[in-house]
Amino acid sequence: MPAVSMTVNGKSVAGDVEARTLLVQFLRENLRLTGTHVGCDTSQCGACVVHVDGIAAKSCTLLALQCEGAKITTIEGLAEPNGPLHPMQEAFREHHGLQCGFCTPGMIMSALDIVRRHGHELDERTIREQLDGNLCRCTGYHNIVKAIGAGARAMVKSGAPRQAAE
Amino acid sequence: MNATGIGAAVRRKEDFRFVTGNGQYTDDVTRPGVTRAVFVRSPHAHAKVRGIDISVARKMPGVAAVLTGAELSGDKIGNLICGWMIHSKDGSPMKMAPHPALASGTVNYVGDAVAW
Repeated sequence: MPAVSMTVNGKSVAGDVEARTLLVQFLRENLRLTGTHVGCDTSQCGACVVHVDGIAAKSCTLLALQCEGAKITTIEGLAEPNGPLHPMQEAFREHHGLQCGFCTPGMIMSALDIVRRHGHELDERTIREQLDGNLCRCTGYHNIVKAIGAGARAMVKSGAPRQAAE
Repeated sequence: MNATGIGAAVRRKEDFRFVTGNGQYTDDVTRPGVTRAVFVRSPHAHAKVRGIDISVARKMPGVAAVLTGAELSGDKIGNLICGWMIHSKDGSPMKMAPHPALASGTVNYVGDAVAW
């Protein structure tokens, strides 16, 4: 099996994978980082969004081997363990931007990418348009949109980097 | 709105683990020696099952068991239960169509499980 190595949440990791292994399988099964979810397996739901070299990507649609040498950030890498939450995580919690929580990691990772591309002052229309690759089946979009707007503004105050991978 | 009283926003206890990726959904759970199940499902909305050949699947390495509707009915495993039976106006119980966990004879929707 081919070997692959990359940096995940700041740590160097390596493993032997089948050529067909998806990035999300590598993260969930090899590294046991189960915060990244597989909702649909077909690039529609966005529950598997992670950052690859600072850019949001659906990890069910990338091969692990394509990410050789890449810097990956998953939901587990946003905040230090036992440290304060990332402002975007805090905003989701504060604004009830989740119910069952399954889509939430992907929502948060996509939200950070929206901030990276569109800045900290996001209007509702922009957020809704930019979020069309993430599905929530609790139909919690209203509060998700509110959370992203608030989280984007809170990131200015906290000085959190716009790219989590930085 | 009062900060502590009626109408105050209350943080949910479970949200911390969800926003940090520490939820434990069924697919996140792994136990030593775990056996995984795969379902073969109907691609047809309504069709008769003329036959299921499981001989090759049974012989594949690592396969613990292959089951079909025949095995289930052979073991007297009955219907998927209806969670909420209701009664008609005249008091008679509602009519419940057979709904075996694995289809035997007929599949009734796309995704109806035929083998396990």
